[in-house]
Amino acid sequence: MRIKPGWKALAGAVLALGGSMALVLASFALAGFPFKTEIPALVIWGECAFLLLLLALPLFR
Amino acid sequence: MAAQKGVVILVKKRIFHLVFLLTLLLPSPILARDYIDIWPEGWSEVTPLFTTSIFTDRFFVTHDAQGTSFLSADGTYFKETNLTYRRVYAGAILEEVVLRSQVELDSIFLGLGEGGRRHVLWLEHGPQGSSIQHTSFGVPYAPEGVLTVLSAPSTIQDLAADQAGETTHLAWSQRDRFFQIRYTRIQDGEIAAVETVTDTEELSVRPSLVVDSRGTVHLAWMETGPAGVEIRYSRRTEEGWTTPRRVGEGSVQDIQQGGLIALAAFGEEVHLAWAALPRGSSRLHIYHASISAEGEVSPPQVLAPGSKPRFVQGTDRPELVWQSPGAYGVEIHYLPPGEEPINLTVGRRGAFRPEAFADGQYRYVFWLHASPEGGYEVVGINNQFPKALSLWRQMGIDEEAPWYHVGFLFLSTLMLSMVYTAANLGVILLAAGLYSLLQKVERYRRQPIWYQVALSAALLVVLRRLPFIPATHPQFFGPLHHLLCVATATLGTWLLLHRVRQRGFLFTMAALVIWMVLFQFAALIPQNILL
Repeated sequence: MRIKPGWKALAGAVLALGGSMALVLASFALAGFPFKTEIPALVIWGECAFLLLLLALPLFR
Repeated sequence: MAAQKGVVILVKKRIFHLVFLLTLLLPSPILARDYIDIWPEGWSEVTPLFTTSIFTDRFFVTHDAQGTSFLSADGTYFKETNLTYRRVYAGAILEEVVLRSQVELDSIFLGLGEGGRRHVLWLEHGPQGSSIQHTSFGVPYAPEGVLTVLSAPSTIQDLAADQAGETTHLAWSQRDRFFQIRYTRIQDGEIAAVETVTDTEELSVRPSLVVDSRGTVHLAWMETGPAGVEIRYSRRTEEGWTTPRRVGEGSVQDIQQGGLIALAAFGEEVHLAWAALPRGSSRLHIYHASISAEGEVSPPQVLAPGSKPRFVQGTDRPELVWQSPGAYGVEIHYLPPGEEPINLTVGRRGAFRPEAFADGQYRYVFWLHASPEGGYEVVGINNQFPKALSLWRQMGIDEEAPWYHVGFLFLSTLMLSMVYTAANLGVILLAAGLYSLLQKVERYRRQPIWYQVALSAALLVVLRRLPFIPATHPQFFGPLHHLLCVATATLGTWLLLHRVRQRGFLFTMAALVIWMVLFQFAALIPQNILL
């Protein structure tokens, strides 16, 4: 049976969602269930650094 | 060809009907809960022990080789409570004795003397006034005489005591124009002369008492006046009681809720913990301070939101338990030395008034739960016999119906992630605008698809933090989970879009929306499990 491109897209979406759920649950199994915390400032600085790194990357390629 | 198509459609319909029927039938025998208890790792099952009341401010628990002993005021009417002693060994109640029946109890005390002798004090109110009584007994229980320590027509309240060897030290608050703190001790059935510790025009209430290893008696109490509540401290020396020192601020709210000062001696230091309102907060927080051997008081430190702190008995360093407001009711938190507090309570049943002791390296914590049959039950947890955690439970999945719970979690999180994505429309539009601007620059436009997806992700991650863009965010469950969410959303977006040849505004919007949906989906999973 030939799968239509629409089904392919849907299967891809389900795979992406299912895969991320599996990864998140696997992380709970390995590192324990996480508890709610305040957002550390380091995380926000890390996100800014990630953006700056990506913005700088094409300038040096 | 047409016939083949018809067969395929028919088969598809049958599969659809089968799946529909299964979805109707499956939930009836296996109903997964819509939330899951997350067990504190390394701790036992919560064991119910016995039913009690909340008519006294606390119940008592002590531990020795004979087992764990409890003293509580049981009953359903405050004027007719039973002072009950219980001894529990290996999870079974071996002894249950009503020491005083059908009386109005104000406060109680249970201490262990030499040779495991149990010393019990209680303060009762009657038509003739108030009285403090003392009795002691061994194991197994055999009735012995009751000694009336004090009997007064004036109001006596808030009995506090500590047992040091064969001497019982006790303090209380007594009305003498104003409420004053008084102290005495009992040794070999002899009552020493009553000493008045405070002599102020304020109301001195809620005393706490501890005797250190050198035999020095330390007293702390709450003094209420027009300016508020103060935590005060004095110690008994050969010259008498030292001039009371102010330790910190207390709270009327805590006094109204039956709060007490937790007091414990570690070597030459005395530690205090109590509940008070920090400036600008309407919620009670746990305060901690220490007093050195020289009588120097350390500045009080705020530990966490909560009330009813108690030091774990039998430790060589301060370890605290307290009750704290949680998402679904009051929780019990335990603070090991130098570590983060651990929430010991699971589920949605409110837990309050913790008591704890150490048995070697293990910790036993007890608290009250409202009983479904009425009244309150004492329950306990320990880290000596930890409950085995199944892999499903470790992931937060109901182990009784794991696949049903996973399916339910998948669908409900997906629906919720759509709502959260819609609530982040402002972030997406701003990110789309910035991304389109960057695409005007040749160097950025020429980059490969993985870079384009990563840049979209980075823009969204940073822009969603901006306070002036209205957006809804899932709760934060630690840096590891956050990193995983960003990584899976970015990878998922790349997987879905890496074959797309056409690049334009539609592609940009698709990348941003898909990333946001995947990110919200992964981020909402633990929140949805706990919901």
